[in-house]
Amino acid sequence: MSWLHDTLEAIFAVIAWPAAAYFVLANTSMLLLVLLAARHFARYLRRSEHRGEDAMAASPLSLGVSVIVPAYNEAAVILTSVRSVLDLRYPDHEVIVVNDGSKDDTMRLLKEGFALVPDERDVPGRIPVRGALRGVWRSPDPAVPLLVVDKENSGRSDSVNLGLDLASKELVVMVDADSILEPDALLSVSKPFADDPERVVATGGVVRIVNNSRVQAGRIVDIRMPKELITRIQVVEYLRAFLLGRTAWSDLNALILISGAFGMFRRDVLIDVGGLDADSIGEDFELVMRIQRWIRHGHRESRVEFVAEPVSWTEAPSTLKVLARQRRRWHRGLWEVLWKYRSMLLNPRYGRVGMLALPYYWLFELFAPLIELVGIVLVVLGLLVGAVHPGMALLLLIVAYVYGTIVTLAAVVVEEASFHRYERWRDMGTTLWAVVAESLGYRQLTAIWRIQGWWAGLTNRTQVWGEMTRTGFAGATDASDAVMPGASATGGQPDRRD
Amino acid sequence: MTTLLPPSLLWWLLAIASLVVVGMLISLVTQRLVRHRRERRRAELDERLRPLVLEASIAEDDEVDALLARVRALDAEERAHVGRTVSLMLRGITGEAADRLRAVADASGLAPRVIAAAHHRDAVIRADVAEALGLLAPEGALALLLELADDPSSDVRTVAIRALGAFDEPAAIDRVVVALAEGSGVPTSVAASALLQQGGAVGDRVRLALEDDDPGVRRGAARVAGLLQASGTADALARLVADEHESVRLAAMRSLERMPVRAAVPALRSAALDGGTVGEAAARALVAMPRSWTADALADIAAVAQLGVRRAAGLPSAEARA
Repeated sequence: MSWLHDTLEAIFAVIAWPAAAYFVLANTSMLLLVLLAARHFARYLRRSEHRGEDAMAASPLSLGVSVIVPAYNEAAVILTSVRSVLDLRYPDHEVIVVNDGSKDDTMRLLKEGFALVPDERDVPGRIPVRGALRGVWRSPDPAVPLLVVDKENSGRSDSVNLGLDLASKELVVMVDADSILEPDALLSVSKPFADDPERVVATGGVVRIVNNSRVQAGRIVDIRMPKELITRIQVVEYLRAFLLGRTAWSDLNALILISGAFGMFRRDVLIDVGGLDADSIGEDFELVMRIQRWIRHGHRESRVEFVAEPVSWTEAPSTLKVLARQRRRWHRGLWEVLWKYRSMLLNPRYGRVGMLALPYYWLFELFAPLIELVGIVLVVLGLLVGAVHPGMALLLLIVAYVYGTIVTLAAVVVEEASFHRYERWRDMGTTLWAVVAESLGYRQLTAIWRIQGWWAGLTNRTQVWGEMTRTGFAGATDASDAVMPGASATGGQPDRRD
Repeated sequence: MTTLLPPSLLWWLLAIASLVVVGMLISLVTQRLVRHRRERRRAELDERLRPLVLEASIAEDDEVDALLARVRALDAEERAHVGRTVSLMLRGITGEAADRLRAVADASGLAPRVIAAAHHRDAVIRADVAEALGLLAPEGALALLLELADDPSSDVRTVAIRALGAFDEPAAIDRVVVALAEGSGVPTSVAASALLQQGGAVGDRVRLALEDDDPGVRRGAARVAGLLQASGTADALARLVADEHESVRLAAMRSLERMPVRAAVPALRSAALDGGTVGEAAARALVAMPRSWTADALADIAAVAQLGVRRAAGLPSAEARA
């Protein structure tokens, strides 16, 4: 096996320094993003006393918001969900539920629950949709601004597009029927539009993990860490990548991804860019990229902003099977969107998006799992044939592990100093254990799934959405709570979780 | 055999990284301990002092002095807590109860503290001052707020303009109207809401603002005119339906939904037939007007307007009519 030994030594001689540089760069950039976000939070929270949300909540001058709720087989949750969205604290919002050809009682429950009557007005047709329209219904009560659209099944993006076509307010927000929104969600996320209505074209809010938290009548009343380790690790991941990472990118005016589970857009801009791409797997990512391109092509001074306030809570996968499917899909979506917009990469015309955000996503998001797994294979082979010094390898591994842990721990420290939503000491303990455990198998496993997703994208394999199996929330205290999250959202629509 | 870095360097790196981890853990625990302790203390103070504040806010006239004397007798920490409580409560209370709360704040020594901090070098504190001045309205508040409305920090200016909404003196109204201008650094919604809060006193100034050269001022005034039903603004609003700036046209149309003006019908009809977002807004304004004024315009919309405009006008589709 001396040829293998020699080959590996030759490979290590070439890649050792670039690999080390990559590792340091990847973690250091994440650390810088965390620090940038920490600075943002410090300013944001100091100003929180006089942001004027109460004045905004009472002002008839606030911009109107259309909340689009695509629903597929959501009979178990739909009434609670729609009522909780209608009850959000906001002076002028309408709710548009798009029933995406549900096979269960979703439509019947809506019709009966809100005594809907047919809406015989025209459908504008500003955005092409695929699913055939069956009918539009509205609440006869002017105090209940609810519109329900019934259509053939054609997927979430197409349903959102139809809702967008019927929206009448200045701003549009898309939420999932199974998400739980904070009462002030619309106020928080629409604030940047109110502050700068000419320039802000889209905002994203923080999506957090609800597993094991206590829910009452569609509202979270007690926030707890999830029970399962893999879900706890996702809490830490969400903190680091979504809350802090996106806050920092927003600060750099280079935000290219806002969550499909809660994003707010100016309606005219969304119609201008053609709504969601129904063929895209990462349709939320694709949409923001299209908006960023629209901004730069039109030499506009528009901005996409991220609001650090928690606004939406969603159930995260609690089994490896569902998590694997989610990560495959995310990475495939990432690849497809990055490839579609490759002309923006390192293109100064696109400013920080082209020169900073996209290189980061290519290098440290898309290629990361490949580089990590290749590294692991080479080191293991090197150890087996004696091309790598075991003691040195172990020491290097520990240093790398501790540095990675510092980055994640920094995110936890920032969360503790800012929003500190997990108040129990026990939750702190489980969070720290999740920080430690993330690099011990979980990250490597997700790397494998991500490569599988990438490969499926490269080979154009048909995407199967599958089911997002829900396990339910703890401590539900009435009938509506008990059923709300417990249903299995079957087929048809993807589980939008990032 | 490959060795990337000297082992001694790796050991040093490991030692430093471990120290950083330990430091972070200590910081985590310390933050939580300090916060919990502070929250406990606040809860204790709240339990003791909130009833006193509430009692003072609803007390009979002959009981007030005794209650205020109790507030004055509190120690510095307790008085600061009373001040915070009153500030929070004042955000949702108006009328006589609000006046009583202001008296409590006065007794707690809050107003002098607020005024003393009006020129603090930290912009966040100046913004807090502006907010408190609007709520407490102590003597000299208006002059200070007018000063803070010209602060170098746009955050402070924004809060000061919002606070000026509580004052209906001409100087306050003029300053709020100026803040509507584009490039003022104050969000239009904040300045327009302040103008709205100033109420009936702003009528004349709004009428002038509708003719202002600055599109931001015209836009804000147009929105407020309809909500206040400001007299004498009808003709100007009708003219703004054809303003060169789309945002001004939209604001005027929103106001016309609440304040119908017959003279605006031809311009609204024309805008509706042009379609788009403005066309939809025009259609909504037309629908809100008496049918005897708009029958012809709505018939034209039903015949030739874009689907979105017809929908905004509430017209049934051709299929439904059939």
